[in-house]
Amino acid sequence: MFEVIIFQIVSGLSEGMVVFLCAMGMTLILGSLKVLNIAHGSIYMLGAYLGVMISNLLTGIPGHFYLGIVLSTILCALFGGLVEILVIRPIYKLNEIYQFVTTYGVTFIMMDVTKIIWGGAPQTVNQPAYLQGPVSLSGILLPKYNLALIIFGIAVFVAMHLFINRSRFGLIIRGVTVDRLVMSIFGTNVPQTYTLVFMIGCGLAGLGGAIIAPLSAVSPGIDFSVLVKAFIVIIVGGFGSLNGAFLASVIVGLTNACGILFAPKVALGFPFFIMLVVLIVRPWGLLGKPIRE
Amino acid sequence: MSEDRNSTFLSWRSGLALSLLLVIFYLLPLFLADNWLNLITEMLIMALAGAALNLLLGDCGIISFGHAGFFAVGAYTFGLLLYYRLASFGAAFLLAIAGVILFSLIVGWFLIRLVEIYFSLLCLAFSQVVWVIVSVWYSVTGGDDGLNGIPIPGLLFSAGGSYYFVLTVVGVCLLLLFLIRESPFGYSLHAIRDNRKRSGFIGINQKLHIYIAIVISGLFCGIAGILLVVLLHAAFPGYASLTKSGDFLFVCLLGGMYHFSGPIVGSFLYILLHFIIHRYTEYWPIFLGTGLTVIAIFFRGGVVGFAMEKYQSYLFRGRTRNASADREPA
Amino acid sequence: MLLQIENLHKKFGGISAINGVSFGVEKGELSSIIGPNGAGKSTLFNLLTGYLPKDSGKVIFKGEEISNLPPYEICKRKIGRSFQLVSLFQRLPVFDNIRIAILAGKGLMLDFFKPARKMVREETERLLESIGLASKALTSAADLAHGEQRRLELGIALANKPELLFLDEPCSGLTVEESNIMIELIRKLAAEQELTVLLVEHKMDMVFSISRKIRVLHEGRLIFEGGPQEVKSSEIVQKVYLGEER
Repeated sequence: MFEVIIFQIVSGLSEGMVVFLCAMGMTLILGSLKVLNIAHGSIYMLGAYLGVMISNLLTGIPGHFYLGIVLSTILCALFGGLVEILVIRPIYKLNEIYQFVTTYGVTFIMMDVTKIIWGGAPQTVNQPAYLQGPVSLSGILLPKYNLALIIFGIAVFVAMHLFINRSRFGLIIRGVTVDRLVMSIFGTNVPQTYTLVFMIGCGLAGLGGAIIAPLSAVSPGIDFSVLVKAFIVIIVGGFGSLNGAFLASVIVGLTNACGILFAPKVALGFPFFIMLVVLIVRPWGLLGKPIRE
Repeated sequence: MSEDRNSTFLSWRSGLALSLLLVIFYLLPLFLADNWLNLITEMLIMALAGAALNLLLGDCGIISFGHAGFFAVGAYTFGLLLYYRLASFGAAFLLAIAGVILFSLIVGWFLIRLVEIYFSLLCLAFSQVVWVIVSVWYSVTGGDDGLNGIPIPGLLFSAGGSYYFVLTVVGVCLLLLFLIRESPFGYSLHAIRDNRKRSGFIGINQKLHIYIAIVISGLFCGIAGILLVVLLHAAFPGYASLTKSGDFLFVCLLGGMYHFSGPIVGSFLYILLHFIIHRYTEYWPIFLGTGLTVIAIFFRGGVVGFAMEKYQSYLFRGRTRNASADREPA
Repeated sequence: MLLQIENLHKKFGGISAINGVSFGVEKGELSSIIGPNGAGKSTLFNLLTGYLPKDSGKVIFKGEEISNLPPYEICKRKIGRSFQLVSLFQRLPVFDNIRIAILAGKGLMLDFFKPARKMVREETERLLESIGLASKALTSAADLAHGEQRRLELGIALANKPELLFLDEPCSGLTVEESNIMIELIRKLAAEQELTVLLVEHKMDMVFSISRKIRVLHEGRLIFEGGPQEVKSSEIVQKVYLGEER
């Protein structure tokens, strides 16, 4: 029984890390650009498809799996930049409803485009051989790849932290989040910064999609399923909060995993229930900035 | 250009036009095949749901991402009562309405504590909870398979029967919504939308008014849900999905948020377009997505807003020659 | 005393915006509050009209303590307010801006089925006449010229027939001529409707021409209170505006 629980926890955490990557991008965009990007799930899906395609295309070349991930991330970031310039820029100053609708529109477009390009059948890819199968940790058999995902997720979290809080560009991002007018007076090219932030967010989503591909089949519909989870994470964690997204992803991942173990029928609803409770009791999330009416 | 509030629509001319329209609608079953009637019935139901949502969206400036929740609560309450033979048709109808009102009262109480994006997301959260409940509670609601074969009385079972029923109910509800929109309460919502801070200071208790608006909006959306069950004899978890909420929002945007007829026109167009495009290709989402994006960027007033603008500029163009005469001091 | 303010305090973070302000306003008084930027004038108005919660102190209007009431309750007690940044119902025509304010002032807003466009027509027309905007009744508030918007702002504040009126920089952004018109309008309406008016203004000639009493605010404190002549000749006030010599 104990082994099963640990196994589930690892499984849940690794899934949580992937959602974290997607949610981190979303909350970064939401916090800095004040835009809720509904299409984020679609970019995650794009990342997954691209990762699988590139990795399978380059089979034979050493490191093709990693190449798939890296290239997919970059392509998603570039695509994000395109979306930002074409679709988001015209509507920054408008009512949120228009942001919702345009990004929602992009979601639908991407949904069909992926079907047209890749068809509806699930795509699969395998992780490198040395990451396949289980490893034994004090007698318990745990899947190597899931563990790798957890470690990777934490690493990306730390890296983003350092980037936002220690690097020069991170400083610019923080500045633009707080007061774009002042930043532009100081010479920052704010529109360009916005595009770059959007690209980073989309890159993260693509990365998340690409790395989960070996574990779960890539098919249409993963866009909405990750979107809903990412929503829950950024609500529970707090808008714009990186730490909050991490914490919430861990909570949601664990809740999901344990839910499946102990109450499989209603496990589907646990994350929503947590979201509901948070919105009622503490709407700005666990680590967000408190807002008052 | 001034936004002349509905004065063009309340003249005796428009009253006549509307009556004519109504007569045409009532005569349609004599000319149309069943599947067309069903399509129009769907349009009417969507129009009611859209108009209900627009009370919050266009009239009050509040975005709800989860109106499908109200829709599904109405549908499932009604459907379950009939399916398990717990009530007659009339009683089920009334009880379902009561159920939606209760749901709206509870949800609204939580919602008014929040603003903006948090409000919208809490709406989403509630609708998702409804979705989870109806998806997961297989033994009662049939889960993903939904409730099928809900017993609808013979009179309303046919396409024509359900059409007349839906037409009448939707007609009455839209009339009520119109009256509410034209009442001081409706005006207060517009004030809250245009300047929330100011509306407080002229004596409007914003929270109370928004709460009432949520309940009214939820109620009529729930009625739309009940009507869909009457049409389809079934209820599915999809009634509570994010996609459904998105449909309602889209319909308001397409038609135009700032006019009463906007959501109605939007629904008819939306369902018609969906029907037509679906005949030729399965790739409807691309059209939907492109349409959404284009409208949000270029045609924010929606179809009706665009038409009104053209109409206004046409009126003014006709008057430029007399403009100076008009502006002489009286 | 119509309005009594006792020892009002308000802090934002570590900064004391209002630091123990006390004064009384008599019925029928036309007075102004002046002070250099950051003195706390708008904060004071926001505290008095329910937009900000106070930290401590009392605000008593006609014997009732109103310090913790929300804005709509304060409005019901016949207190009106205009805003420094014009705050209108942008999408609505001028006529409806006033009509809604009148309807709300009468507490008729929870009516669900009467057609509002037929209600309070005459009263709205009269109010529009008195602020000189009758000809613009059908124009959207957003399409008015700035001076007209300021007059509409005043009109909305007057809609529920208040006894006490708070006007926050009513002449802001107006030309000298427009300011004079505005001040005359305020003076006329105040006399006609027996209003007590409390004004915040930066334009000194406006202030001196209309006020019987002037209060000077500096760094959250009331440092001087007196008639126009006294204020003009006060050393304290001059120092505050022109800076101390070091």
